[in-house]
Amino acid sequence: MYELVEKSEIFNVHKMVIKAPGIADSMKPGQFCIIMATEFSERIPMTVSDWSTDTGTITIYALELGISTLELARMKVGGSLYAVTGPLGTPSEIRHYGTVVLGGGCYGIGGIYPIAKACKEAGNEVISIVEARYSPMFYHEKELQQVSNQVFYATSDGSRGKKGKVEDVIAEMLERGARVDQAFFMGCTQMLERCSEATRPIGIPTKVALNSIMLDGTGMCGACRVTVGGETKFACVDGPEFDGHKVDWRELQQRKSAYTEQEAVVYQSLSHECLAEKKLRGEL
Amino acid sequence: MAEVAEQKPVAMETMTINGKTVSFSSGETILDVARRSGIYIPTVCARADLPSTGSCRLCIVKVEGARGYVTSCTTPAEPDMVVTTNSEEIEKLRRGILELILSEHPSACLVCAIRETCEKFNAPSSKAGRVTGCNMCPNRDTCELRQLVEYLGLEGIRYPLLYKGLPLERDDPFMDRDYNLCILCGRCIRVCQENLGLSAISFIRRGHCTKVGTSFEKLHVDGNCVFCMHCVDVCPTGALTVRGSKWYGYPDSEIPTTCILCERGCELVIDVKWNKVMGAHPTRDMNAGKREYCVKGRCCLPALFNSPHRLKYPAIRRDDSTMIYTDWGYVIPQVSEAIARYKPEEIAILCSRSLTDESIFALHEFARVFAESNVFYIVEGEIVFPSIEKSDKILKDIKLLYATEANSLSKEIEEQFVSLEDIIIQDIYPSPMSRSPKVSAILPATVFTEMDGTKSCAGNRRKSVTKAAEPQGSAIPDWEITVRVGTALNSADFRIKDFRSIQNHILRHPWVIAAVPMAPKDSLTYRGSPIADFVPDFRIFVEGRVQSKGEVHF
Ligand SMILES: Cc1cc2nc3c(=O)[nH]c(=O)nc-3n(C[C@H](O)[C@H](O)[C@H](O)COP(=O)(O)OP(=O)(O)OC[C@H]3O[C@@H](n4cnc5c(N)ncnc54)[C@H](O)[C@@H]3O)c2cc1C
Ligand code: SF4
Ligand code: SF4
Ligand code: FES
Repeated sequence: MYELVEKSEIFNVHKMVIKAPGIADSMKPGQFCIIMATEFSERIPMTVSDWSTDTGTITIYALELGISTLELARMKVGGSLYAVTGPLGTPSEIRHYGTVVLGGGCYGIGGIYPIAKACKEAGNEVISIVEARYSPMFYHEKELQQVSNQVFYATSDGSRGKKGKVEDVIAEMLERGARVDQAFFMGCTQMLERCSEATRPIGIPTKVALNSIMLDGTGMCGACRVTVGGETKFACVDGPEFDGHKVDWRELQQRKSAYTEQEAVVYQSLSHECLAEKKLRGEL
Repeated sequence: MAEVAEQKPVAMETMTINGKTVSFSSGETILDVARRSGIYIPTVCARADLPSTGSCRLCIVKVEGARGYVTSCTTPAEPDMVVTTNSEEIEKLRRGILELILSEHPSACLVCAIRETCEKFNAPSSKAGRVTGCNMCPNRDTCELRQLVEYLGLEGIRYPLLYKGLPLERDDPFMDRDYNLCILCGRCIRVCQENLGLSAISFIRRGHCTKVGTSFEKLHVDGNCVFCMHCVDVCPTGALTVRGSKWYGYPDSEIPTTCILCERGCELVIDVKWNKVMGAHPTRDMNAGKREYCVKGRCCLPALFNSPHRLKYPAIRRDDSTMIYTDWGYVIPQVSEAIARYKPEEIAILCSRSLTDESIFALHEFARVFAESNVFYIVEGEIVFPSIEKSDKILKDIKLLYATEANSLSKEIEEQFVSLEDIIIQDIYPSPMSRSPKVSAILPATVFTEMDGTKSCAGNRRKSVTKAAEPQGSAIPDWEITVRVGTALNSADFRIKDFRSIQNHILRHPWVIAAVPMAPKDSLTYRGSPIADFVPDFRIFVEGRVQSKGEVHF
């Protein structure tokens, strides 16, 4: 059992600090873990956005989407997760590149932090760019600022930084003649594709953290198959990071939405751990 | 002729809207007249089936001679009035009003530069606990606010967007409420208060903190709410949603049918996607809140009918006594052979009250030819033979039981059949009975959304049932199973061959259906199976009601 020691919500993003000393000890930037809220839960992959060997904790930022993330969203501090498996995946390649641009959206706002931190420690100039719908939706902000030479913001409504997306900030930077030696992106598939298109024309080496559907996360099931540069790869062990200019985006999106029907149907008979139920059990 | 003379003369006066002369009757508002004349006036709070309050002011029009603008939804039409509903100035004012509404709504997606590509990419909209924009909103594909943005050509919002920061209300069964999306139009309150007279919700708190809620913010299940979800039907935004039916976007088709869970037989529209029942709601053009819908038909059908527990394939007992799945081609001759082994007086048929008229008639015809008309029902846990000459005495002769709602067969009932040797089950869900070693075959049937037919409901009304979804697995309608088994038994006396011949016989023998007991409106089961076993929220609803009110009604 893995105790939940801290929890908060920032606009549908649930920060969860989980006691998992073994994982915290061996975690590297760019890796993820697979968690199960209860014994009967689905296994779902979550990027580890921060960890501490002192406290033996890992931090994940989980977006509530369907029922498995709903289970996470409902958890309370003091409760325990049934299973946390990790670290999984190949760590990000960290070396001295020169100037590194990191772009993050949704859970990637937190997810790019460890990569930024490691890049900074490796002597790179680190420029972080994060996007959200409105200004209050940013999180893990101070931490990111501490490990970045510059942080740029992009919002859909223009309430903070650039009105637009990460790629709009990049386009502006490039117009100003900025030099970028390596780019990393983490977020939803659509954002990864848009950002990769922004770096393609001038050939900036680009790594994207793919989030194909995963089951075991150890290269056994093949659920996470992606096509990169015409080759089949397993995102869980060969990735999650791949060359953003070579990913078959259409296939990835198709595979990611393969279970839309089942996800909608399972929501119908969601067993609902609600206040009304607790009252019935006499817990309130 | 005297009647005609007594009729009140209808006062038809005329007025002018946008240069067009239109007639109206007294009591109509400008909006009523415009709507009737095919002139569109945008509204947020007004709806033709609700009393108007004029609170959103989007329906403003210019009336010649009057100062400023008036809300057309509350201003009565008057003789010779000259009204303009759309001018550059009015549209500008409307855009301003809409901008204000949207500035206190999670509207970022509406002003986002990549809105169109993002929407195509996220189709249907992505699921989310808290809605932070259209692309995570369950209402996106039918949203009235978005339609107004289109209509008024709104390109941006000049005000800073304000997020209210209210907690999500997800602690009631079936209903999710996110009042961060609420624009305070009051439609939900009006339908509940004025149309239904329930007053489960009202505006609570004051001034800037005004919100919709129950008194003392109690759970809805503890208040007057009946979970008819008419508030959800009229809400123009994604603030109110039915939890189990919110993430499928726009349905592939909407099929009107009749809910036959109880004798009331409510008209319902089934939202179909992926060939499955995804939602059920009143017809969209039906006056909202003309009658309250019960939580069973409105909220339970998707979970009930898509349940992974449904019986999907025929099963048969082999010589080594194990049950195996098989197909219809194999199981039908096996079942008919089993039936042929017994004398008609040794066979009884448990008919479910929940079946369609055709399926019930087919069972009666089958019983007439092969089972000495031994048809019985289980009503409130008791065996009921509709034909008076049959009595409980026949129970002890029965050796083969053909049960179409095995979940209502309690141990006590089973024990009354002292000579029972064989059971054939034709049902939709498994039951404790289906594990009995006496069961020789299990035949999967369809539910009412997976078949065509008719159903006799209370008040002598026979209503039509229309197929909306595809059957689960290889399930087929009950009447069809009966026809197949009966045909295999090869008797010249068995008169039904297909759906049409059953319907013809029903017309000629109406008393057969008339004698069938009906499922009462407060029934907690469908086809003998507790709805709560398949719909977790229904259990919470029923138990919550019993706890707070001591009883549960629908
Ligand atoms: C390597 C990796 C790292 C991730 N890191 C994070 C993170 O840090 N924070 C975060 O919020 N999300 C992260 N995700 C995505 C997260 O796993 C899914 O959002 C989650 O599984 C959704 O589950 P659900 O039951 O709530 O939603 P569902 O309703 O089941 O599905 C919603 C969508 O989520 C995706 N999804 C569903 N199941 C899986 C699965 N087993 N594996 C991957 N994607 C799935 C599908 O595209 C689906 O359309 C990551 C995914 C991967 C592969
Ligand atoms: S209610 Fe309409 S405008 Fe508001 S977020 Fe939902 S889809 Fe968008
Ligand atoms: S919940 Fe919906 S219907 Fe009710 S006031 Fe708010 S926006 Fe209007
Ligand atoms: S998740 Fe199973 S092989 Fe990658």
